[in-house]
Amino acid sequence: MDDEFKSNFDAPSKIEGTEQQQPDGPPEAKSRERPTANTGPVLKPLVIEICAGTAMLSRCFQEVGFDVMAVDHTHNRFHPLAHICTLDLTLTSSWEFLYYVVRNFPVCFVHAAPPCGTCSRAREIHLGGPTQPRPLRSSEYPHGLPQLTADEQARVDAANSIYRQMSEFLLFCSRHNIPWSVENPARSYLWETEWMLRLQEVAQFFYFTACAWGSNRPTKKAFLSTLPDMFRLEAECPGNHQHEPYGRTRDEQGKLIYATAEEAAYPRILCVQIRRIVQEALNLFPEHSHAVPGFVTNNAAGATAMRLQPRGRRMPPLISEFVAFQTITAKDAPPLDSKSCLTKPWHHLPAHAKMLSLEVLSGECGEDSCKQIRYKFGIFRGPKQWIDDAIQLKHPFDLYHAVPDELLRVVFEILSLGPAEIANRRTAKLKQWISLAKSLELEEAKLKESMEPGVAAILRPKRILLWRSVAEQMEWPDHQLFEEIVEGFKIVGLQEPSGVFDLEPRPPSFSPESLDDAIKFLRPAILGKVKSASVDEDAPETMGHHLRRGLAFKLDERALIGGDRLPGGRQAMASGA
Amino acid sequence: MRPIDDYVENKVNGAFGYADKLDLRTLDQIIWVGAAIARALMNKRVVFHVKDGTTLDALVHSSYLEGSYGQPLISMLDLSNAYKQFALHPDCRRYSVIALRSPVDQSSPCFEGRVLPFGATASVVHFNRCSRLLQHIGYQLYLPWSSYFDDFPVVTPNVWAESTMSAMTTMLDLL
Repeated sequence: MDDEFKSNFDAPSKIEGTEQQQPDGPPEAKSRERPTANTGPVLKPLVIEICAGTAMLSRCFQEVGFDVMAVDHTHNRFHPLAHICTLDLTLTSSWEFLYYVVRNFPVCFVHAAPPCGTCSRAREIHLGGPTQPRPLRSSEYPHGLPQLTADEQARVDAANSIYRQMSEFLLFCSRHNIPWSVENPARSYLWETEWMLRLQEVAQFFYFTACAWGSNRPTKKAFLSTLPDMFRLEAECPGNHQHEPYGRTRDEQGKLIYATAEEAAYPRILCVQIRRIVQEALNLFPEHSHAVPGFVTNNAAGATAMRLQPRGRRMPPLISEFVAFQTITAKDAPPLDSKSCLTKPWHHLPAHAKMLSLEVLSGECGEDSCKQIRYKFGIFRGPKQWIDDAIQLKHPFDLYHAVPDELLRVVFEILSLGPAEIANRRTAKLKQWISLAKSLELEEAKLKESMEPGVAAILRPKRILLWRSVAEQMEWPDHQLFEEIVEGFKIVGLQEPSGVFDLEPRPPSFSPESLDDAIKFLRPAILGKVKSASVDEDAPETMGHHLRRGLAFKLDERALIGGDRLPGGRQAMASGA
Repeated sequence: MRPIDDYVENKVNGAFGYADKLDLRTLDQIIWVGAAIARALMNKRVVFHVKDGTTLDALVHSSYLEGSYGQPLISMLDLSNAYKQFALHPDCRRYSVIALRSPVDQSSPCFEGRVLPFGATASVVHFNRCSRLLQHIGYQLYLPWSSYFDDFPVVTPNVWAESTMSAMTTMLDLL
C-alpha cells in the first residue's frame, strides 16, 4: 500500500471503485440536446417534493447542489426550509404545471407525501371529548365511507383528487424513467385506494419505524418507491431511546395538536439517508462539480467575467475541493483528526483524506464490534497536483463571460479579416436577403390576408416570412415564435420554453379558467377604483394616439356589463425605469 | 413619467406561467467586447476561447492599427414602438382592457388593446424572444451588438462606425 502511495499527500490518479469528478448534469435517461442561442448551461438535476411541508428533504438536496421544487399549498402549517412553490394540488392546472416541469427540466427524482389526515387509522382510536375525529374511510370503503357529512365529504373529495392526479403524474414519471417515492403511514387507507394500487404495480414497499430515523414515536411508515435501493431505509426501532406518547395536546393558542400530525415532518437524518440513497442509485453528485464553461448560467458567468463573483453556488469553484471520492465499507473505525481527516493511510486511502459521511448498514448483528459501516471519503489534491491543475486554468475573463459564441466569432472576424472583406460580406448578405424578400412577396401577402384582421393590421409593415426563412437558415431554436407572431401572442396560460434562454420554472398562480371565474368579482372592484382615482390629464392624448393607429379600440360601456372582459387600471411609472 | 398598465391587480399576470429565464447581460457583453477589442489592439493579436472548446487565434488586421481606426466606439439603436410592433392574440384582447377615468365627466371609458400590453409579464417574455432573434440575425451581418428589450447597443472599431450603423438600420427596415 505504501508503494502505491509514495506521497501521503498526492492522491492517486485513479482509484478502483472511485467516483471521479464529474460536472453536474441531468441523469443520462433525461439528457437532451438543448440548442440555445447562447450555448445555455446544462441544467442541474431537479428534485420535486410534492406536499413538501417543512421541505426538509428539498433543503437536503439543495445543500448538495441539486435544484429543488418543493410544492405545497398556501395553508401549509409548517415553516418551510426551502422556497415553496405554492400550488393547489386539487386543481388540474397545478398538475399541468408539474407535467410541464417534467417535460422541460431534468427532473431526476420525485418524492410525494400526500396528506394522510382522511386516511388515518388513528381516527379509529377513541380519545373522547366533543372533538373526537371519526373515521372517514375503511378497507371496505377506501375512497370514503358512505353518509359522511358535507364537510367530511369535501375533505375526502379533495384528498382523493390529489391522490388520483398524483398517481397519474407518478406513472407519467415512470414512463419517463424518473424514479419516485410516496410516503404515508404503513397502515394508512391511502394504500388501499385504487390510485395507489395502480402505483403498486410498478413500485415496491419499504417499511421502517419512524424513530429509527430520528422521529420521537415508533410510527410504522411505508415508502412506495420505484428505486430498489430504498431498502436501505428499512429499519426497526433500535430500542435505545424513550418514545413520546401518542394522542393530542393543546398548543399555546389552545389549538389541538395531534401527535400523528407532528410525525408527518421528516427528521433531517431521514432526509439525509433518502438523499444518499437517491444520489448513489442515480450516481448524481452535483456538489462535487467544479466550474466548466457551459455549466455556468449566463448571469453567473457574466458577473464572474466582470470580477463580481456571484453569491452562493451559482459559480462553482474553479478547482473542485476534492480530486476523487471513495466509499469504504469497514468494521474498524478510521483514524481521524478533529477535522475528520485521516491521520494516516487507511484501507487504500491516503492520509489527509476527509471523511464526508458514514452510514451504519442495516442487518448488523447489534453488537458494536461487528457493525458494518460505510464511509465516504473525499481525497484532496496534493500541493503539486493542485498547482498542475491551477496552471491549466484560463482567466475567468476569457472563459466565464456572458458573450455568446456567435458574437465572439463576429468580433474575431471583424478584427482579423479587416474592413474591406467584412464590407463585402455584409453587402452580399443584404443582397441575398433582399432577393429572398422579393421571392416571398406573394406568399407574404397571402399570409397577411389569412390573418385575423386586427392582427394583420399590426403586422402589416413586417416581412414575417423573411424573418422565418433567415431564422430557419440559422437553425434558430424558437420554432413556435412565428406561429405565435402570426396568431398574436397570448398573455395568459402556460408558455412553452423558447429554447433561447436558460430555464427557471415560473408557475402561474392560477389557470386562465380560474381567472375567468373571478372576472365577475374583479371587474366591479377595478372599475370602482378607476372611478375614484385622480384624473390623468395625459390619458386622452395617449389613448387618442392608440385609437388613431388602431392599437386599441374604445369599448361601449355596456360591453363590460356581464361578458368576459377583464378591465385593468393604469399607473404612472418613472420613464426609463 | 410614462403610463404602465396594471396587470397585477386584475390578476392577468398571475395566470401566466413560463420557464424562460431572461438573461439580460447586455451591459456585461458590451463592456466585455469593448475590453476584448482594446486588448486585441494592444497585443496586435486576437485570441478568443469559444465555449465549444475551440480557440480562435489570429493577428489583428493592419488597418485597425493605424491611428485611432481600431478604437472601440459604443452606440445604441432603439426600436421605435417596441411592444406595439407585435399583435395580441384575439382571444386575449379581453384581458387587455384599460379603464381610465374621464377628465370631463364621471364615466370611465374602456379601451381594448390589440398589441403586446406594457405591464404584462408575458409581453416581456415574448418581446425578448423577438429581440434576441433580431440580435442573432444581426450576427450574420457582422454586427457586434447585443439586445436589451428594444435597445440594441453596439460596439465597433472607429473605422466601422458608419458602415455598422447603416447595416443595422437597413436590416431592421428590411425585416
